[in-house]
Amino acid sequence: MKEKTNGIKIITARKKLTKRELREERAGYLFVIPNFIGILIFVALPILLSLLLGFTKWNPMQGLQGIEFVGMDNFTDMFSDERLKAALINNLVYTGLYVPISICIAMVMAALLNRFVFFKIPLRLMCFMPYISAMVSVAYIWLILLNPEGGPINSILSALGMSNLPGWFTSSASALGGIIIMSIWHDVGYYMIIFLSTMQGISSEIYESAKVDGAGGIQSFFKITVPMMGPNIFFVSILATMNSFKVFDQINVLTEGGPGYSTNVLVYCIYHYAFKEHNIGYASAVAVLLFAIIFVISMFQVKLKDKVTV
Amino acid sequence: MNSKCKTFLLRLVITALVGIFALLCIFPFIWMVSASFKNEIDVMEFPIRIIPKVVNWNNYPTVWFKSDFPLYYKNSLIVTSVTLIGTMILSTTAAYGFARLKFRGKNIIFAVYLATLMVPVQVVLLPKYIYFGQLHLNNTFYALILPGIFSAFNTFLMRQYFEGIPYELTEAAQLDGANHFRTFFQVILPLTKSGLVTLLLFSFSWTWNDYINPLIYCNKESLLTLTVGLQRFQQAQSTHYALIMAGCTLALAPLIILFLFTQKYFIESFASSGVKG
Repeated sequence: MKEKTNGIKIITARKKLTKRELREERAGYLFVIPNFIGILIFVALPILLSLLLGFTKWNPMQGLQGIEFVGMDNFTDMFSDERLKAALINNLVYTGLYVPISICIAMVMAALLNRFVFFKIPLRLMCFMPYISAMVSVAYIWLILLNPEGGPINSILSALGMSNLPGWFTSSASALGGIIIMSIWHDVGYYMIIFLSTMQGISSEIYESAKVDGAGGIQSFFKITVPMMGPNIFFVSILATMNSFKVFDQINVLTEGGPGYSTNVLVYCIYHYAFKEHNIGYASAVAVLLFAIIFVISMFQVKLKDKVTV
Repeated sequence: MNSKCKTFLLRLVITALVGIFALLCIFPFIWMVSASFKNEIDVMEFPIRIIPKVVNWNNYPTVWFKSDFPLYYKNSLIVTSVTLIGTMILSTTAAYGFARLKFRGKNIIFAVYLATLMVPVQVVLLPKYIYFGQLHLNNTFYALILPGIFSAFNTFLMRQYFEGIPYELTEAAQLDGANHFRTFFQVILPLTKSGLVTLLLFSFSWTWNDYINPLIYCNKESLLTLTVGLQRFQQAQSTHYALIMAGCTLALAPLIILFLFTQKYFIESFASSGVKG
């Protein structure tokens, strides 16, 4: 219905554009076109290409003549690809731990920061500091912190009486765990400030009246804060899920997908196939798979958004 | 004990708890700075000593003068500043067109912007690499700057700020004879300072921290920016942890200093980026 009225508007506008409207239209094009041309060339076109390349086999040594369309071959090859299978499982494990743990910590910390603490501003600042830091730099700090031979974290663990210390990034049993811990540390402040800024919108009167009715802090967290934050928690969970499928920097810096396939994830798979094995068609097909996953998650968000917000 | 005293104590306990969490958040940074002033043999000492037993002042000069750090800094500064200036101009003008002007085809053009927002950079890495190769952009700063300047996200962001400005203001300016360019520069831009600050902080931190784009499109030794440069530096130093930590400190310092001085804007910008979606 809305589109229809728009259409009518456009038609009537075409009939008689006043001088003023013509001027406005010309200005509109002048303002938008320079940016739009850039977006087409540097952003939109590569996206279209990425879809096409997924259906080709291409050895870049032969130049553009080397492109050969192979239909769905790349996608059927995926079923027997151990590296990709490991990547999917790792991504699921990563998401399954990273998202709920980050969200829970962020929610609790936001609720505490919102109402119960002194020095709110400096504490908020400290929690947010990891997020603005480049992943590459902080990855190297963690590489040393989690060094299995005398690194501070293992030293602390052993001082606490733990034997059988994890080998972190050097062992396939704990490498993904190390990556997850580091990623949660890096991102949790971001999710926290999103929660915090929404929480500040909840009127304190609700808490006051709950207190009068005898609700304690923990009770009002579960009975008031969490339900009122529902849509926001949902939104941040989606955001965190999408982020978890895009994880790459820390993996390429710290483990290059290893030991074995233990920290191999989807984006690293794309990078590996494209730039280490020069298998361009197949890498593009994996990229299409990644896009499909992200697309489904964002559709999930669009579909459920209305249901949750009502 | 009266209830006022009780709430005070409760707040104190909770402040301590949140404080411990906040300390955990910044502990790696403290440890990094501390290690960067240590002798190599003291880096892994336990119990951990935050103030080094022997302060080693030589790590920073070594990093700065015996590696390519000055070059990485220069490259990062060039890429970041050109990207910032470019995107400030191009995304605000386009956003003005989308937010305030009527022209045919606007909805279709804007739909292209929204569609590109759906696709994360990680998906288009490879076609972009091939395509940029054809345009001879690989291993030039243009490969980083041009996609940074033409940003659908920035345009979208500024459009939201511009839409919030009351139409009475721009109409009044136009009745006074201002054309659209004057309206844009003299009415709209001065009214969206907070939006411009948000745009600036976002673009600055993304460009400065960007790793995957320089890694793929611009990895010639003389063109390395700080993130990939730091990786090369780490590979060359392997286990000289004190030097690596000095390098990390140097790489992180500009953004963290900017953050400490503008933390209110920083945090509000990032918080609102999350609420919007």
